[in-house]
Amino acid sequence: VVEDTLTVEPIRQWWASLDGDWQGVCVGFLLLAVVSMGFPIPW
Amino acid sequence: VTVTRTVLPGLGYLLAIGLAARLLAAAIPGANYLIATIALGLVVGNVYGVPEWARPGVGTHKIWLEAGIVVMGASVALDRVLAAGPTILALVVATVAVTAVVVELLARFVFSIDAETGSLLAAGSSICGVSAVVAIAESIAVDESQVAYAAATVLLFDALTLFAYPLVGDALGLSGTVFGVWAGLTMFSTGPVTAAGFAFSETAGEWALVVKLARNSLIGLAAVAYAVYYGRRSTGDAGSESDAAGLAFLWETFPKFVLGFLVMVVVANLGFLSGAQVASLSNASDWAFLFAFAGLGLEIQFEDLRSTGYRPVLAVFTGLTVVATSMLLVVQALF
Repeated sequence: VVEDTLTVEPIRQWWASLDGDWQGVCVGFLLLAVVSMGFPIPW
Repeated sequence: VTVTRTVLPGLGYLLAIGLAARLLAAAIPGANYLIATIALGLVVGNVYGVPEWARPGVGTHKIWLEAGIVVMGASVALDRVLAAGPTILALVVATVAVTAVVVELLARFVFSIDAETGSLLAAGSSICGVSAVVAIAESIAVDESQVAYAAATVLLFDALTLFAYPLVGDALGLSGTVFGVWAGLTMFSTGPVTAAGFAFSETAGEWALVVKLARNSLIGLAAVAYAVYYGRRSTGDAGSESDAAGLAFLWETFPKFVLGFLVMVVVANLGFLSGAQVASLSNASDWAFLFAFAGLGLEIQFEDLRSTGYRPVLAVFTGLTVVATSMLLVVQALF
């Protein structure tokens, strides 16, 4: 529970506070980060 | 953890529909998996419905559409877009203005629809579908039923044009560029434009996206124009304060994922990404679109579409036919 409060909850709140458009942008750049780190994404 | 547990079942539901549609499309000659995903979602959503446990995950489909569009920016060649930029921009502004005026005039003078509903229909047809209907509704004070009525009309045409545009494009033997620019200029909502574009060809999809995003960017300006027209905004305090409020409103209504898309276009075109990485990102956007389109199909409810009436449908149909035909001729002459 303590860990949840310290790590997950603030992230959840931050995510919920984002405008829907920004959530899409975040997911997009997360994918860019994954690919940039050398992880290929197959179809 | 809770978030994951809430959202995951719905994502699984979307994935199952997407993968089933892909298998189905592979088995049917000439079928396209993007259109098949929306179609299968539409059938499942209307026959079986979305189970309660899947709703939170299915509700994320708009995020996937926007993420897919942002990532797709990596595949767009900036030099081609810049070369066509001024023409595209002029076409976008002209199409938005002409569509809005044509639908407004048809709604009011031919089909006797009330002014507010006419404006909502004009905004939905000319800019970006349902999000434009909602943005304009906020700035001109209309009641809920008028919004639902106009949104249903726009959704009905989203569903129809999604299937009709690629068929027309194939029948006329249009090039990918012409089809993409035409679909981006004249279809309504971003999801169906993306699906129809990429269903036609990769080039068509990229052009459709670029043109449609340019159109979406005008949403704030259109909302302000309507607000001024309906005289609801305070006119007395014209000064820096109201300028700041106007800018804040423009920013608030601006579709932010367009910025993400632009940043991605620049990053990829500056050479930060290798060919393999761009290919990976293109795959990533295919995955994102799979979730997005399955959800889009699931959310089109025939019941909701029935809440429109024959007059708005006729007004939008006539407007769309006039604008789509004339713009096709213009785009063919230019590209």
